[in-house]
Amino acid sequence: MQEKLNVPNHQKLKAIYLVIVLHTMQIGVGIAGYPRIVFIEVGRDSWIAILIAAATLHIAIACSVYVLNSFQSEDLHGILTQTFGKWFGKLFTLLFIAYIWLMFLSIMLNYVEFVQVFVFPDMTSWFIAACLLVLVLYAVQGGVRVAVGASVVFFFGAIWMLIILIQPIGMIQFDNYFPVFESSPQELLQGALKTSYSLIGFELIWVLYPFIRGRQHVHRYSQWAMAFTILMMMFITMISIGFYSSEQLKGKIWPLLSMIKVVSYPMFERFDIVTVALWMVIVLPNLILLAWMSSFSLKRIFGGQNKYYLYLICLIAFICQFHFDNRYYVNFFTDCVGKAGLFFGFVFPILMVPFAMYHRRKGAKQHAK
Amino acid sequence: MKRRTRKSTYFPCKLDNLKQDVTKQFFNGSPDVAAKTVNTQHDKLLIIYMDYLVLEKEVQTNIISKAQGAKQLDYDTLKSSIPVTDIIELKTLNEIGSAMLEGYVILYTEKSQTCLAIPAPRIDQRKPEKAETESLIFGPRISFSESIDTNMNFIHKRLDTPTLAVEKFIVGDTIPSEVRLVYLSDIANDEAIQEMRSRLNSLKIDDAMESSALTQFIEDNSYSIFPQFLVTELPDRFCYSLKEGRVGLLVDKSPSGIIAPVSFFSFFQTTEDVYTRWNMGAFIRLMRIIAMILSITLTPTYVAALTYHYEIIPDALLVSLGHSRTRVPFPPLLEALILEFLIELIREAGARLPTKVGQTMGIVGGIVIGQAVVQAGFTSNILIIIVALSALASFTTPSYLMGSAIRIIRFPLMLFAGFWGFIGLIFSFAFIAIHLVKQRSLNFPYFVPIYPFQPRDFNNSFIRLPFLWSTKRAYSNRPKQIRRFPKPKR
Amino acid sequence: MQNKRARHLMVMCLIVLTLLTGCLQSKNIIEKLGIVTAYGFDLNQQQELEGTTVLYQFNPDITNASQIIHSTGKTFDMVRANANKKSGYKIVNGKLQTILFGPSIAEQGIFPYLDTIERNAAISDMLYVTMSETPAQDILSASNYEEAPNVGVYLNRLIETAVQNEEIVSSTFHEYMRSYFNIGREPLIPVLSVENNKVAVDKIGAMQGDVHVGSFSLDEVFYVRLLRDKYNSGRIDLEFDLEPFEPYIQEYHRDNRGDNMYVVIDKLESNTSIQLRDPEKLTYDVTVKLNGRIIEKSHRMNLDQPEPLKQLEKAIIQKMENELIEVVSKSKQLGSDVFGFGVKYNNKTRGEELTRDKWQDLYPNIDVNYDISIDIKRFGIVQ
Repeated sequence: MQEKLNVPNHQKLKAIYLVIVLHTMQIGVGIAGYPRIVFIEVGRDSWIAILIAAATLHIAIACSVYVLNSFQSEDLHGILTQTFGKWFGKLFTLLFIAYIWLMFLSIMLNYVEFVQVFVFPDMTSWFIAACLLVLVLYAVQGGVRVAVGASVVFFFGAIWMLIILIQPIGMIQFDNYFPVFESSPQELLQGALKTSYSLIGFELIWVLYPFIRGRQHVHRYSQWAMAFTILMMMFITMISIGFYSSEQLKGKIWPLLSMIKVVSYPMFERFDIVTVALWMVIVLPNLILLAWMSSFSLKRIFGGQNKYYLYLICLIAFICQFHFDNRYYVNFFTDCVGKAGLFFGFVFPILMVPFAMYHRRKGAKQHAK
Repeated sequence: MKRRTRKSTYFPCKLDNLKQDVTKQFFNGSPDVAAKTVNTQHDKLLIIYMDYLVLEKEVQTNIISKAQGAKQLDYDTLKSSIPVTDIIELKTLNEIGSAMLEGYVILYTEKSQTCLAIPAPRIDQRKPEKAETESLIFGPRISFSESIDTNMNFIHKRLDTPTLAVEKFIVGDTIPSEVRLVYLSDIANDEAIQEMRSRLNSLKIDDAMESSALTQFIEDNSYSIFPQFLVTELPDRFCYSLKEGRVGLLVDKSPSGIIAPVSFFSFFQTTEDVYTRWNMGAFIRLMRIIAMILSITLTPTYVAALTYHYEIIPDALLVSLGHSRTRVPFPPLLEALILEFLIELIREAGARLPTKVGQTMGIVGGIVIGQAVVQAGFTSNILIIIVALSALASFTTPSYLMGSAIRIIRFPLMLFAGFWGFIGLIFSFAFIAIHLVKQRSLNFPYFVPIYPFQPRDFNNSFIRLPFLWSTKRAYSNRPKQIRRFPKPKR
Repeated sequence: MQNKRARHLMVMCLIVLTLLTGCLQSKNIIEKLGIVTAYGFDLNQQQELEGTTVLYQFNPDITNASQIIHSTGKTFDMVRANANKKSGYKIVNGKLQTILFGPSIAEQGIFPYLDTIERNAAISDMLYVTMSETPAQDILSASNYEEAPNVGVYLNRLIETAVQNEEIVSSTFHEYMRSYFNIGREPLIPVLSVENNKVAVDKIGAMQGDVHVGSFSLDEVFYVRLLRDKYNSGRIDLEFDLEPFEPYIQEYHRDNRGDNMYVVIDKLESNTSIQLRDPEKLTYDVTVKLNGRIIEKSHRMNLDQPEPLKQLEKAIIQKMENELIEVVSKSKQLGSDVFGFGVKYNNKTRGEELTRDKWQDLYPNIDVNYDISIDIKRFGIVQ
């Protein structure tokens, strides 16, 4: 049996950071292309699809927190080894790490593509990837506090960009929102499914949980984070639908970034270039936290030092980036991650609930004895 | 080895022997050892001291004449007749040597078992003057002086409270200097005090030199460009920080005090913000932070925009920029580097030269060279404006160290902007952000109140609220008493 | 601890240094660029594009910065590349502000040439799509462009001013594409013409998709815009028969004018709603609510009293209704639904999306009822 995870008190974080950290994990490269993806499926009824996805999301996070609460100060690895035994637990954690790493890679490739499409067509991919990885290494080396801290700072560095959407909002045509309720239930479900691809990232809580001070607030704050994400996606999708006519929206690969092309200020005539560069700040929290998650979980499985796993992860990602450097692979990876995320993010917590209930009962019995 | 005496007790000895031994064995035959044999009514008395280290006048009036007039020449009589306190008796040659270095006058009568050491140190010091590097418009302007006694005097006068705690440390093995740890025992955080104590105790250096040098030995990360301890020459600011629950250090022979723990944003505050009315204070504080951001972004943005991102330049500017750029033979990066370097040159020259010449330098450098550079087509005139503006903005930072740090990080930022445009620029900003999050000051977070996110501290870091609203100290220092005074009922 | 940090720092520095040397971008330094502000396109006999490229030419001794290059090519980008063969500057499109199509292209369809603008992220979405009835190169070679650095910038200012004054419908690239893809609300683009060597907005072209099918004069555009958009501070000149106002008009000494009365209304605010009443019979209800102030009136009458004011408002409403009917019937004739009646139809009918062909068939059959109300709020400092 693995020794219990013991987090010293000075390493612990306030629960309120969950709101920011979980939210930034969910909002990343996906949001730039999301409005089109859901619009292709559901059309003008996208908001219904988002609401359906939101409901499942809130249930999934509630399940996750329930499971985590019943095992008390254990992370994913601890829970899995406690319920499924040493080997199965480790194997499953490894799978989880593989999924996280895949997400890491897909986010990185996506950002590389942004930069090449919008700003520097001739900038080599490995260079952009290296830039990101240097920052990830630098941040994760500082441990969980710095990883979370950097995410919080970058969140504030990026959230103000919502303000620049005022100009596109002024160009909305309200006719574009009608007619409503045209989609069939299948389409809606399909749309909700596609939405959930963009909502993954909250799996972070499985690893971050032991590091949080004030467990009683975890549930509340993680729900807030989910609500915040949903609100933002709803906001951006609704603007996109109003801003583009339907055929136009279906054609734009990154509706959000294309939308920012109309934004211009007296000192910055083209804001989209600044935005794409600044998108690094949106992407970095994802990468930093994912790298931290996977290196930490690897350490939990195999023991040893955190940083060697970190180097390993970044190195493999860097090498892989050479092989998967075109739009086809980017799409392929994003799709794979989305599908895997459906299992790890939504199905897995619900599957874990019976085990957690069993664990609770066992704990209560022991307590009674 | 010469300084060691073989015998543990040296005395009694002959008067002439003592003089010779002290001079030879302890001072390498220094010509500055002054020895006099005084004939008194009863016996001979040897007086040894170091020239320059004692007050001659004091020796004459208080020691020699009093000794001569003494009824008897035993030590008890001498002690009572010489009007100086703290007279000590010494037994070994070593003790005598160190006492002389501290400005003691040694008296010896033949056949005695000990010798007397009477303090008459001569300390030349300048009078406390107006602060030079941190000049103020409002509020107390006096600055620390090089003597720790004067400095402690300021602190005691300013903080007239029994809770003011002072601890004494000796730092430096070859050249020991006195360091005083100062804090308010009912406010300062215990962890901070403990941490500072242990850092000072475990410090093994030859010489503390100066407080800003000492800072670099005890800082959390001395590789960082950003100072983590605040070094100030204003007793007023020093005391204000103590009242906020911070811990202060005073170093002998140094005209500045050290304050820790501090956050990144503390470097952009002055006590003046508190002395002016709250709305002005808030505005000026916010302005300094905006100035800091402008100062590090303006030139790199210019370089990035002109090298890669011509799209973002507004139409009206594009033409005038284009016109003035056509005559410039260098790429924008080089152009900006040259001009920034020029500004640094003028600043450094102005700092090194005497004040009056320095001002002339400023005018010559700023106006004449600036004008000539544009006319010669070395730089575009818009860049001149930008560079001057960002230099100006960097000088609004009240802390000299932080201001310099901000000016210096512009250079790597410019390089990144010149090589990879906005991507490079954002990369370097992200790097700086992570770096700042990583730093700690005396084990307290450095980038507070942004991370750890502490909205309650925005009051004391970015803006300033009226006193009725700011009845509390900053949370991030974790003081023992958070409340300064009860909220007024109005 | 310190030692480890030092090692990390060294590793970092090494990485950064290798990157520094490893990868440098190709630069776009502004004085080495030919920054295009406007393109004009015509088709020649061989069905090839004849492009006119207007670009900035920086020169510290001359205040204007203009160079015009003519080149041909099959595609948009080929025109640019061929123009670049005639210039020592690297021609870039990042600050393209106006794109002008000659009549030869406007009649065949402009969409094929717009693809690169949408595809290439470097080009702004805020450039104006325009056309002309004389060849584009004639328009762009007009030499009087006020204080603007070149004719491309002038065109941009010209159109922007007109849009801001609410004289024409905005046709930025984004808006053009949005209308193009939006079945049932056809795009409108300004038609430019040259007079005395100076370019002016002459008419507004109604498009059927990407094909120019006819134009509205600037007077008619007021009514097109009234239905399509809303006014915040528009202005309109109206002309009435004098007869109904005869009783209220104050006679002055030696008053000698024609039979018409002229009224100018500005600061006009409007709010229009188009409702499809019956999707089967294609009957629409159009409600227009206006308010504004009078700033000029050729005859004096006491508007402080209710009757003359009522009379005036009634006349305005009558006038506007007639004009609206005329404009809509013109648009029916052209087969270009610039008002967005089709969008309303699509929104009301469930099921399949409207196609352009289907609406082309239905559009001439629509029937519109108007309900106009106007509120004259102020009439200046005399009665």
